[in-house]
Amino acid sequence: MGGPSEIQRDRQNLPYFLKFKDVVDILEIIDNSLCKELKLELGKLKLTVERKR
Amino acid sequence: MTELGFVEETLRDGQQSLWANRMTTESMLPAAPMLDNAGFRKIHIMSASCFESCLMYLYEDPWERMRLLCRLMPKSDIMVLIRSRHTFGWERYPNDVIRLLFECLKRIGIRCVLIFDGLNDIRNMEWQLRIGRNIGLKVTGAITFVESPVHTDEYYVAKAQELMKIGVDSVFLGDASGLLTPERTRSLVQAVRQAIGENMTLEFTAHAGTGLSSDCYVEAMKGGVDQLCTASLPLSYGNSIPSTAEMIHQAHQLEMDTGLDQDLIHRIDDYFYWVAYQEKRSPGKPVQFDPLGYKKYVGHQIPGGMMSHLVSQLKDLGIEDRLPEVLEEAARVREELGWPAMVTPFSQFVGVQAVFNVVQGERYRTVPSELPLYARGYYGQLAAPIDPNILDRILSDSDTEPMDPLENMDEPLVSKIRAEMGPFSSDEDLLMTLFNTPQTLEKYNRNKRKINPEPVLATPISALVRELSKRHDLNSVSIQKGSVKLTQVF
Repeated sequence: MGGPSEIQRDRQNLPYFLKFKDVVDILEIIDNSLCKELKLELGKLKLTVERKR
Repeated sequence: MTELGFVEETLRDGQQSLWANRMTTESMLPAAPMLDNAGFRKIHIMSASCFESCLMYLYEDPWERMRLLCRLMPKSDIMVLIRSRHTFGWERYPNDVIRLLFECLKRIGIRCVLIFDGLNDIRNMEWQLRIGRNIGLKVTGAITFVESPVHTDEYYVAKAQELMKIGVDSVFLGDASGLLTPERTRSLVQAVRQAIGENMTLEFTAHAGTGLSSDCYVEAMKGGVDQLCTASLPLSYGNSIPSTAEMIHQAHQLEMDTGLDQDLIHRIDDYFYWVAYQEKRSPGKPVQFDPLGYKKYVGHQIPGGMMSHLVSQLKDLGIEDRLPEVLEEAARVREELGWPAMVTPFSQFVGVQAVFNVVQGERYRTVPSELPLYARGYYGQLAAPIDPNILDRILSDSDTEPMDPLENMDEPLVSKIRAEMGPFSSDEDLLMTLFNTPQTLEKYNRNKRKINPEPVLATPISALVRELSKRHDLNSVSIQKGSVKLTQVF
C-alpha cells in the first residue's frame, strides 16, 4: 500500500523544473550550512552561494 | 468504474487542525484558481473557529476572505461549516439570525452549508437545514462520531434517518477525534449506507491523530461512501485528515475514478509547501498508530488543541505532574455526563470539571456555570442520562426544570439589534457585531489589515531569488540554468 512518503517522492510530473518544495529544501540547506561557499546542483540548475567573510 | 468524489479541506479543516487557523487570505488566494480547476466536488473554506481566528488573530475580514475566494473559484461548490445554533458565534441564535446569515452567505457566492451539532441533537440542526434549502443552498447534515458504549451503529442510523426525514442533499459522517478504527468504519458506513439508501450522497471524514484514518478511509470507500474529505499534502496528517494525493492512490487501487486532475493536485501540494515555509508553519506528518496511546485517549478524548491549554493551566497552578490524574478524571466525568462528544463547548465542560475535581479533592464541589444548563437540556438532548448522583450535585444550587433547546428561537432578534445597536453598514456588519464581543471588535477595527485581492503567485525560481536576496550574511548568489547565468552581488 503506497503511504504518504511514497506519494511525496512522486513529484516528477510537475510542469516546471524547480518546485516550491525544492526551494524550501534549498533555503533550509543554505540556512543550516556553516560553509563559506556552497554549490548546489539540482537537475539543470546550478546554484552557488558565497557568504560574507 | 465507480466514481468517488473529493471535498477539499486545505483552507478549512487542514489549516484549522494544523495551523490553528492562522493561514492568511493572501496565502490562500493564489491557490484558488488551481483548486477551482482540480475537479473537487466541494471546496470547504470557513467554520466558526476559522471566522473567529480571522478576526481575532489575523485582523482580516472573514466576509472579504469568503467573497474573494468565491470570486476566484466560480466553477466550484464552496462550502462553510455551521456550528449548530451557535453558527459563527458563541450564543444560541434564533431563526431570523440564521436566515440573515444564510442570505449573506448566498449573496457572496457560498453554495453549500454543512451543519453539525455536538450532541447530534437533530432538532438543533433542523431550522438551518430547512432555511438553507429554502433560500437555495445545498444542505448537508453532519453526524458527529463519538466512541462510547451508547454510540452504537443503531444510534447513528437513527440520526441519519432523522436527517433524511427533514430533507438533506447529503449526509456527512465525521470523526473529528480520530477515534474510528477500520473495523468500526466498516460496520458504521455499511449501516448508515443501508439506512439512507443508494441515492443519498454519503460523505466521510476522519482525523488522523491516532494514525488510523487512512485505513478508515479505505474501509469507507469499500463501504460505499460517495465523497471523502481530504487536504493538500502539507496540510494533511498530524491532527488533520488524510491527503488528497494518498486517497487518489487508494481509490485507484480499488479501481475507482476520482475525476481529479492529478497534475493540479501535485501543483496545489507544492504551492502549500511554500505557504508553510513563508508562514513559518510545519507541514503535517503521518502519525504511527500506538495501541496503548489509543486506549488512554479513547477514555478522555480531549482534543489536541485543548490538551495544550490544559497542560498550561496545570502548569500555572503548579500541578503539571498531576496531568495523568486529570486525564483519568476527565474520562470518568465524561461517562458521568452522558458521554458528550468532545467538541466545543462540551470538551471544555468535561476538562474544566476534571481539573476542579482533582484540584479541590472533592468531586463536583464546584461546577462551571454552564454545566447546570447542559444538565437541564439547554444545549440539547444527551446521548445517555447523567449519573443521578452527579446530577443532584450539579443542580444543587440551580433551577432543576428541564429546558427546551428551541425555546424562544422564533422570537426576532435582528430587528431588536438594529434598533438598539444600529445603524450598521451592512447585514454582514450586523452579524459581526452579534457574533463577537465588543472588545474583540474594537481590537479588530484598530488592527484591521487590508487584504490584497490579487497577490501574485511567484514562480519557484523567482521565489528562490527573492528569498536569497533577503539573506544579509550572503556576499553573492549565482544561479545558472543551461546557458543562462544570473549573478547577484550584495
